[in-house]
Amino acid sequence: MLRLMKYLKGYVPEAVLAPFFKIIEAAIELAVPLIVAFMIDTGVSGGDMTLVVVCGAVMAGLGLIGLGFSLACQYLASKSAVGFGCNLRRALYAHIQRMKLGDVDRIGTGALLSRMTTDVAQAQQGFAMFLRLMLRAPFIAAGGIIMSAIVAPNLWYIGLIAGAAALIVLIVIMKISVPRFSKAQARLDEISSLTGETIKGERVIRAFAGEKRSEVKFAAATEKHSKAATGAAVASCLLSPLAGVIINLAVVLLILLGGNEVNAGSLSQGDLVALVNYMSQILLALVALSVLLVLVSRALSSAERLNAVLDMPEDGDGEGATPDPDAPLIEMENASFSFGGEENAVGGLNFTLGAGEVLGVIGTTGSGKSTIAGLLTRFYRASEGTVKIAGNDVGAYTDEQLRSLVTLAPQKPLLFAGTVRSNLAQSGINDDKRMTDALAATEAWGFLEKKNGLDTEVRQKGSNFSGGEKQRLSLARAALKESPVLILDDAASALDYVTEARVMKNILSDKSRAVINISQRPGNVRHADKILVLDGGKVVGLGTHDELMRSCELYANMVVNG
Amino acid sequence: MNKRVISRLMSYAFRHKACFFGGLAAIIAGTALNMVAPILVGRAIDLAVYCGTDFAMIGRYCIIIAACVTLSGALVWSGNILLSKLAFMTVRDVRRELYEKLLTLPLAEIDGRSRGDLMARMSTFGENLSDGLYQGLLQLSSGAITLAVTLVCMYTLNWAVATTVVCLTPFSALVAVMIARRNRVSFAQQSANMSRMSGTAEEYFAGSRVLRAYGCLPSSENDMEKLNADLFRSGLKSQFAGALVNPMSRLVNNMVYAAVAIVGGLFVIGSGGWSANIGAALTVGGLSAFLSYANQFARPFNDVTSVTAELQTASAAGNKIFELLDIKSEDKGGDKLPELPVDYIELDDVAFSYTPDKPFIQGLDFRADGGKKVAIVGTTGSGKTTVINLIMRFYDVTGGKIVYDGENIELFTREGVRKSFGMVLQETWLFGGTIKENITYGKPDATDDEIFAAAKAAHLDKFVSTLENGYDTVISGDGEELSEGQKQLIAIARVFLASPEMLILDEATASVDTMTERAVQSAFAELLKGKTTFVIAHRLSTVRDSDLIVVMDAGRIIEKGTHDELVALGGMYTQMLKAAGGE
Repeated sequence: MLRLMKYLKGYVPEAVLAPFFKIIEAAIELAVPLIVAFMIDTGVSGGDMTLVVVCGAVMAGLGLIGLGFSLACQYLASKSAVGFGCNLRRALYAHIQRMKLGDVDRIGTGALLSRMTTDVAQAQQGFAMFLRLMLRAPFIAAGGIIMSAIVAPNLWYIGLIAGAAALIVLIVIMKISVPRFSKAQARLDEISSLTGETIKGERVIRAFAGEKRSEVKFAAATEKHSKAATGAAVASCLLSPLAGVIINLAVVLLILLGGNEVNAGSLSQGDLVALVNYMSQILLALVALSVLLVLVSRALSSAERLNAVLDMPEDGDGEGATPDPDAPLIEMENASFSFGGEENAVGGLNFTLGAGEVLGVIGTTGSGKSTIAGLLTRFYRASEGTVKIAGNDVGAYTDEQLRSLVTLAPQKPLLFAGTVRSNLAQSGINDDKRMTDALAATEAWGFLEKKNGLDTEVRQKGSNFSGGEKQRLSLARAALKESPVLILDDAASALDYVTEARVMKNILSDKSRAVINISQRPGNVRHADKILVLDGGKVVGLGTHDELMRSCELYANMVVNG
Repeated sequence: MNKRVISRLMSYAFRHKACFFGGLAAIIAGTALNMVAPILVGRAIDLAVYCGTDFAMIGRYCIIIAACVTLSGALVWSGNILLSKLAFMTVRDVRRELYEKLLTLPLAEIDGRSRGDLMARMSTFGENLSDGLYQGLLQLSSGAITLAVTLVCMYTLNWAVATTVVCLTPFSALVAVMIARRNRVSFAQQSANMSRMSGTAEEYFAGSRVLRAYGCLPSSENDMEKLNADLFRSGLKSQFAGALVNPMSRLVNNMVYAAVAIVGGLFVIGSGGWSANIGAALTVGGLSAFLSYANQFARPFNDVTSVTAELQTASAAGNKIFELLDIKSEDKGGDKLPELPVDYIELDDVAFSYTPDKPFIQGLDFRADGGKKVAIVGTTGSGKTTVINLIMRFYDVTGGKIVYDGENIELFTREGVRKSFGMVLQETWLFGGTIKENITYGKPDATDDEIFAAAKAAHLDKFVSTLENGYDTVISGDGEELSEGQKQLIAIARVFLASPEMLILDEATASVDTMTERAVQSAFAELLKGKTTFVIAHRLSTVRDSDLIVVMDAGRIIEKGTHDELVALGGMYTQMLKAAGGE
């Protein structure tokens, strides 16, 4: 949690002032029992009614002043906590979008999303509570102990022992319950992921009559969660009653020993009442602390999860380089990439590609086709060899430079809520005419024309379009972008042959670019200038269609059976 | 706050009567005992102050107090445990029902909602519900009993001072209500902004590749910043509104405290005379007890108001959950079971639309004879998958009928219809578990030999043998560590093992490369022998040998016949063939 404090930037004065005001309010509160003691000893014992009323009025006045300080604190604390949350959310979002894609894939969208929402919210809430109450409670408790020692110097140890005992109880219970809370949270995550899995598999589950089995599995998961959560509650719920017992025992002790003192005349009646009052203030402070236990421990485990994500390395940016207009647009020299295992996901890539040329990439499942796209877009970095674009290593470019050089149409077409226009505008082109042309080229204008054309609404993740429609929109976006290198990563796989052939022909008619066309269909790559055949991460053929038909058995096989 | 939701939640809670009533009883008894303590302390103080020599008596009181608070602590603790247990068991039950619902909802309901939304109802809203139930029961019961016992104790001590406090009660209640109202408004705003932010973040994370590749990160950050700014405004409001509860209730406490100090003090002074005359004499110990009560006077009101916020959330969450639970489950269909093997399946003038005002599938007519292979081809979005949805009874036809051996499939149970098919879909579904568990999903009692044979037939064995743990390799729910092709092979092995009477292959090998597909196809040929099969495929080579090819466009059948007949016809199918060859 401490490490997250750098996100407090811009709200530091508020965060410092808030507890300060709160402590002033607490100090006022600590003065009240003294006034009560004075009132009893002087006013009540002396029968001075006016003094009693004056003392009461002073107490009420102090209450109002306390309210003022308290409200100021609450406002400042709220402001700084909410500001902290917003800073954190902003930084987290930017960080996640700059993390290595391998890490992003591994953690998964769902988990990252809950970091952005629940975890930030819990950290924010925990921080607000910390400012508002965590400092106030110990201050009141410590103040109560000190004040009781001042009022009854002979009995100074009672308050101290009670306070210390309660504090130890607090720490022990915290230590026990925090891991239990995270366990319960982990169980809850299981429930979440089971649910997600089930929703995805509705059709298959029903087709295989797997409902009962799913229910059994889910019932077990909920049972575990219920047990784990109860376990956490057993520990955390002990704090408040136990603190109550400790403090009340201290009161009993005070009366037993204090009675003597009163009798001996070294302690006044009012003092005894004040002492009992201080004990109950210590108690209330500790109880308030116990209410916070859950919130703060949640915040701490959220902070831990947030730090784990924030600690992931970002994908560094290049220094910047100037593209060499004379160099081939793409150059791979013995480039390999591995996901960390012993085997290369893809290895031994050697080819060059100039403007106007098309490289077809084809291969068996898991042969590393998409990895080539990842290497060129710098989503993955070559573990061996070099990958050059326009004469410079891809790592040398800044993000901005690289993005202007390379465009990708991914296999999973990703659209964003807005309109067709806003999605196409991501290419950097805002011209309606060109957008319409691009859509026509990818055969998307047909279904858009019937709707609202460029203004057709796109729902979140493009959920109002079919897979094929999404791919066509995604292809149009890629075609629009004016970059010299275009990578089509199986980008038309959801289209039928007829549509795909037409779309591809249209896209490839722009001869100013170097295009890498990754596909599973031989028919789709046969007219490419060069075809790269991959098998299990290795290059097994590179050449034109005719050359490969003669020299590459795998390729010939694919074509014949296509 | 929705009373219906609350009472419905209560009906779930009542299933655990022991925890419910035991917990409440323990909380009530414990809290009541605790509230009696100040009176006892007051008496002990009086003894110490007025007759300080009676140590035996003081000692006796002290023992009673100690026993009283210890017992109270134990009761409150066990009450807390029981109520948390109740809350967690209740939400467990609700979740199970919700889960069951998810498995029986009509697919139209599920397809029409986002996965994130459904998941939130299960996890986050479920948590809100259990929080609300626990806090609600705890605070309301302890609040009510605190108030009641406090009043009784105060009246026992001194009716006049007690009445002073009672007169101040409306003030406390008013403050509590005002804060609750403020909370409610700002909370609703905040949660609306939160869900907007969450939806956008989900989309941007899922679309990370495109945002990066198109250099759109800065603009996505701008979008998030706008949402963030909204969250700041509404967050500050709701945070501050929530933060008002404590100071305001302390103010109430302090005012009551001051009033009690004044009035109480005066009555102690008057105890020798006027106050004793009206039956309202007060001792110093009595005053001390009053001050203790005053110190906590706002708490019950505070509990009730703080719990309204909690209940607000719970009620909103409950609404979302119960709304889903209230959607009618898919009916069982008919009550007959189809007699397998089915001699023929016929689609007779079938019509269907996802939205009533937009007709989609119209005039669908074709017949699949037993043991024959029917291919459905057509452009993207022409309705091929919808036909499968209808045949599997995932959706119901809106016109015409689908017939098994002359009987409308509406007469059969949905389960019966579905069980007669094995299906491999375009989007492979795997669940968290071992590869073996995934393969045996359609036949949980399969022997190892059967499993290996199925995996071999699906050309999965080579890949699995490269894994360290082989078939026992655990894969995550979405199978992120596998390629699309590998996932599909597992799904295919699953169908091989289940070996159902009829098959549906919806782009079953779309993500498998040509080589692997070829191999799988030969295995499929084995599997399909003598089985009625519906195939949807882009790759026309895989449908060439079909007994019937149905060509669809925009929800209608354009042409149908065998490969040769369609080639002779020279229509759309021929066009598609040409394109496939890359000519």
